[in-house]
Amino acid sequence: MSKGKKGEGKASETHSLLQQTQEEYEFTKPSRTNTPDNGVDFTIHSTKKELQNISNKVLGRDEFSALPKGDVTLRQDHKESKHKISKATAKKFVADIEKNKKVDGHLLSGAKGLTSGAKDELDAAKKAGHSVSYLSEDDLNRINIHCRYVIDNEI
Amino acid sequence: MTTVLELAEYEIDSSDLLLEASHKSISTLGIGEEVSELIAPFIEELNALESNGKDKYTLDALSNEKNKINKTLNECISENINSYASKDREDKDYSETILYELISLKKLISERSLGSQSDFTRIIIGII
Repeated sequence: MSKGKKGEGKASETHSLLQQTQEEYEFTKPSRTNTPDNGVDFTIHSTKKELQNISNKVLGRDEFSALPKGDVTLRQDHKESKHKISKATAKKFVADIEKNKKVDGHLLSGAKGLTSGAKDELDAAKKAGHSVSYLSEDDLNRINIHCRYVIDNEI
Repeated sequence: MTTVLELAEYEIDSSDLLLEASHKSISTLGIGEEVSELIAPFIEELNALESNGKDKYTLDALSNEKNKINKTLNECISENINSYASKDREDKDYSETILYELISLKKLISERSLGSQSDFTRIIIGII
């Protein structure tokens, strides 16, 4: 099985758990793994408040402060890798913002973190006024654990 | 999720580490799952130095074993061409996509070979 297909499956698991535990959260997967996707592995439908709540509560930081208030749509580009996301990958993610102007925010996810060059690319996109967020594989795992706890305890 | 391959130029330091800050993209190619799996055995890890000049990281790149990779790609191209006529329209469309990706990948490998390498730079096909 390809790394990409496996990675999308893992990311789907997080979406599925969030959809079960959050009032507004829904997601769609627009293409198969063998289809050109313009950097859209998933589309997320939620609210700014809901995404901020999850981020603050589980990760202890606000990844979504630059989103507009109210209902929001984000595109997610997921990277399955045992390494850090490089500057080259981050550059492509930022370049894909122009191909996806209808969404409110852009979420890069997966891998073991960002290299300093990748962080520079995302910071530059933020400074240019784009709502850009990053969640590592570890962040996604923490969200999964939190959601499973909520489901198991019917909170 | 398509896999995106990027032909890129990096400067290197005295330890042969790629310097992230010097990254220059030359061209990119998106490939689907089938071609991605085909080249998986030829992916190698390259060491690079982060743009902050302190931390090292690893990036995945297509190895320089041009002849072995081309042999694998040629075999797959032949298989797709030989079975093309007997396929229905949907499978023909799929075969055409695979053939496009395989031929584009051969072109990308050839562009890497033609690129001007020096003692201070490397041209690689990285996965981004």
